[in-house]
Amino acid sequence: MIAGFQADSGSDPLPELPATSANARKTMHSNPKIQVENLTKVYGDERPAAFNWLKPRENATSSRIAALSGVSLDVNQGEIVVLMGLSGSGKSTLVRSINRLVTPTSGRILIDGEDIVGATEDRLRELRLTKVSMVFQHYGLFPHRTVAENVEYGLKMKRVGPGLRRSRALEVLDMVGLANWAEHKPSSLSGGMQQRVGLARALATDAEILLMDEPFSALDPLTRREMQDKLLELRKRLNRTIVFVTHDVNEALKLGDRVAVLRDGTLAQFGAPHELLSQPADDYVRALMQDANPMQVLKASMLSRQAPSLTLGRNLTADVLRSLKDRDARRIFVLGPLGEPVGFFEQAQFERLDRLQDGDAGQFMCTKFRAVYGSTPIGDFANSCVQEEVVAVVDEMGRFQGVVEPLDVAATMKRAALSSDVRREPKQT
Amino acid sequence: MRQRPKRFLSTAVAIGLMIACPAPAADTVSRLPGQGVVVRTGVGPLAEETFQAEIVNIGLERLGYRPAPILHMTYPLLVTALATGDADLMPVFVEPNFTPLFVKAGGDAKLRKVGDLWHEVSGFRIDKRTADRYHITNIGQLKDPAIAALFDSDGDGKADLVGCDPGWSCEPLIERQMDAYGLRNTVTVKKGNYAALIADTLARHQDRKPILYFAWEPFWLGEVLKTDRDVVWLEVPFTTYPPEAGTITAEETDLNGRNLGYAHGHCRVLGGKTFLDHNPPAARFLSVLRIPTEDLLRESYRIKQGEDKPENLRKHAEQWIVAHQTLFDGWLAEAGMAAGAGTTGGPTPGARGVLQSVLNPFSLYTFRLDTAITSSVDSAAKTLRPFLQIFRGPVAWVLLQVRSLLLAAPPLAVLILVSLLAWRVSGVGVGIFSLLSLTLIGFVGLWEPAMVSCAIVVTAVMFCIAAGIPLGVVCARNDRIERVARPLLDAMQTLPTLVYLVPVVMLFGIGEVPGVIATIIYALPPLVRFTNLGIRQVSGEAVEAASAFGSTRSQILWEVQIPLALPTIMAGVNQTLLFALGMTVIASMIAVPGLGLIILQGVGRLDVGGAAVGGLAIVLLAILLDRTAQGIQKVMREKEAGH
Repeated sequence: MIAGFQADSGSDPLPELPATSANARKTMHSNPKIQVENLTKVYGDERPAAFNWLKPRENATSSRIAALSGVSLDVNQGEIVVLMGLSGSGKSTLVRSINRLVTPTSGRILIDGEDIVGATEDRLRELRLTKVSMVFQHYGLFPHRTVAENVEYGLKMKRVGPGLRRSRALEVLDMVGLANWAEHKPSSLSGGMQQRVGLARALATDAEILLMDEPFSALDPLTRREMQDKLLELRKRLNRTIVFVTHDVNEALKLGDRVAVLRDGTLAQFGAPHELLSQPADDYVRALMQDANPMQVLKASMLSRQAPSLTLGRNLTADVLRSLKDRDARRIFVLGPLGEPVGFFEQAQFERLDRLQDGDAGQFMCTKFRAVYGSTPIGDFANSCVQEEVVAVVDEMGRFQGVVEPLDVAATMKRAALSSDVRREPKQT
Repeated sequence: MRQRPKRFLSTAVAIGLMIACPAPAADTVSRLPGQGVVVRTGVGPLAEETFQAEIVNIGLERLGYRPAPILHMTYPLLVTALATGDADLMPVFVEPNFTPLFVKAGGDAKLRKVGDLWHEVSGFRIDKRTADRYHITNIGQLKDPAIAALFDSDGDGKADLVGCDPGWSCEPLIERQMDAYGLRNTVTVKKGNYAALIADTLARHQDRKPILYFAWEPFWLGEVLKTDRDVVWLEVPFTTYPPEAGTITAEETDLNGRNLGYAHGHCRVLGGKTFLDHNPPAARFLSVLRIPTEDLLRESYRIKQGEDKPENLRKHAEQWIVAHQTLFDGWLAEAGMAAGAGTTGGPTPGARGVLQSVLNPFSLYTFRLDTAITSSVDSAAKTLRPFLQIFRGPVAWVLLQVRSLLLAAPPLAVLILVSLLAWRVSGVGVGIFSLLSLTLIGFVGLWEPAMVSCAIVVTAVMFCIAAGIPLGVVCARNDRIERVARPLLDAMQTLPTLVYLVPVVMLFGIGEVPGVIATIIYALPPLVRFTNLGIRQVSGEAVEAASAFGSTRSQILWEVQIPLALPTIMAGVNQTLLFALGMTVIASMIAVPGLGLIILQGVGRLDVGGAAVGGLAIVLLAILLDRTAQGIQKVMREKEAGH
């Protein structure tokens, strides 16, 4: 599935958006890092029949529970895929199947093309040591070891020497901002700090795949947001493929390049965040999305429209006017030497000043505008739009990408208000 | 199954007969010499004694007395009850063995002895095979270490003589003889519960090994190990008795020209002075009653074969009377009763009609589970005993090391070291408590037994740790094993401790080492439970995390599960420690020395003070061990928690 955006999707009130999502672009071209094919997991009844009498009381119906049935999905190199669903939907089972803490009943899981469902115990250990690491909901720290010893654990299992693993541990702890806590026991740290230890432990082994099972669920809302931002920041620095489990819609939409919604062990929908918002596959997904805040989910890049631009120099008024006319534009941006926006010309201003055609246009350049990153949620700059301020979208290097029209933002806000009306529709049980 | 209808038929006939012959009317009873006076007869724990008491009761009943249900209690308590008037008769008073009890309880002022039911012969016995081969006829020959070594059962090179229960009159007498005959260096006397100890003797005899034990007749043992067929009496060099026993000459200890060293016992009827003085017919009957020794021996053996229920014993008594009817009627007549009159016999108490047997169907049939167990344990003992002996070696070695360490060190050094340790791990309070309690134990003269008990406890706990923690780990990691192990552990912990002893004796023998083994078995369950619990309580995420970072199963165990379960495991060790200390008291019944023996002797001799001091020492040791172990746990937990 391509995470592009389709404009004419019937009654959907969202305005047409250009398919320029950076995330979508990324996912289109790389090879899958993890491939899950038709995965099924049935719990219970693994014992030979002769030993059934030894089982504690359990009635026959509850002895076999399908936690996953026929789930298939791909995770691309460098992507964050979020598994979302209510409790019992199979998301934890799915993430644990990827490092085989849970053994699937049937189906295949390929990591870099290698089927790990049939892997031997030794091969599995090797994979866990080198390729896949994990962060747990309640941190899963070892209370009898210091923070540094916890972070070193994976390296110790890898038989890395004590000196080397200590320096690596300190390096990773520094990355998560806990360098000063190395010699403390986890119990003396706050929840957020403990989870950063858990994250550091997972990062220390340099595994390419990071599995995160509801890592921030146990944290208070402020710490949670802080940790989410930390993860996004680290992600820019470290090229990891992340499978992230959560039951929080906003967390899923904020972090995920793509989000897989699970229901009763099946895949309800798998797509980019805005797809889930704009085109929920069924009532279940729609019901889940009711709690989402589109203003936080939709990013500036999604509303960004291409706009004409000039390079900063000795721009003659006549040239500027011609450019505006040629492109039938109201406004033209002026870019600095690195491609960064420095100001813009507005057509309206020039029409009154026809006779100064040979003069320098610089004096008419307007420098009052707001620049936002493509990844900035709309909610963060909606206020500027309401005040008719011009919003320019730039990429991570600060290069001009396009502009956000106040009308588009207004339409999105209207849709957000509408969708909160839609929320009154019957929920999926 | 086929027998059941027949049985039912005969029961019905019996009930019909009972209805046809009603009990003597109350006025008939009041015209008899007994005048309906209630008689409370009491006996000790042996079933043979109940048989005897039933004969006495039937006689008294025919004289018109109304016997109350038979009382069962220990001899010292029974003698005291007679003196205080809480009981009336004790038809099992053996002289001179019980004479000290008689004196202690008030003597002739409160008690009166009548009759002479049977004679008792006591002495030392060895198996005939060894006696013939080495020409052993006298216990004095055991002075020769080579002869003594023949009877060694625990590997220390000294002969092991099975003595009797601490508190019995024979116990101090055997000690006196050991000194008098100069046998201290070559013979060890094993004291404990005689019945338990003799189980080992029988097992050794089955293995065709030499045996050496104290014995008396009549006792069922005489039917199993028959005189001059299996075993022979040993002579003693000379007769020796403590001065307080009065003058006992060699004639009194002679049996057919051989000096056995023990005055023949006379079984008499001890009664409350008031009761016997006021009831001349009863006193007269009891003074003429005789029971031949061979009859008692036969009865003893029937009891050993499993016919030991109260109704069996009552029936045996009735059968015995029928067999000796003329004699018995003569005794009754002498007691003031016309021969034949009133001897028709009333219904046996308890059976009142068909309704009774419907309401109590258990009276119709008894499934002899006990005999089944006895025979299976017997055969298991026979086959397993040689194999199980391999466990003795390591236990004996560790015990020897620990005990010689504790006993060889100067008491002052032990006292100071233990107190310092207690202070370091549990604080000043426990340190001072340790100092004071050890000092007290030392000054009441119990230092050595206390150290012996400690050595046994420490040895047992060491083996419990070595076995219990791995077992607990196995249970924790395998649900199936846990489901099988849990009811077993429950049973081991709930089973009365005394029940352990006899099988342990049959399988391992008697003495310190089997005592330690019994203690290990008893003290093991809590440690297995706590280890299992501790490991299962380790957070699932920590285990998952270890696994997710590539740990093997054994790495998970050593790096995560055991360190995290350690506080719980230590709590289990603490429990095991206290269980072991408690068990050393019970284990003293199979010839284990230490504080338990002090307590057993005190209780057996009605020496309240002695038992209390022993008990106090146990309590002090228990508190000391518990607090110190808790201190060690706390230190470990703090280390765990870090800052």
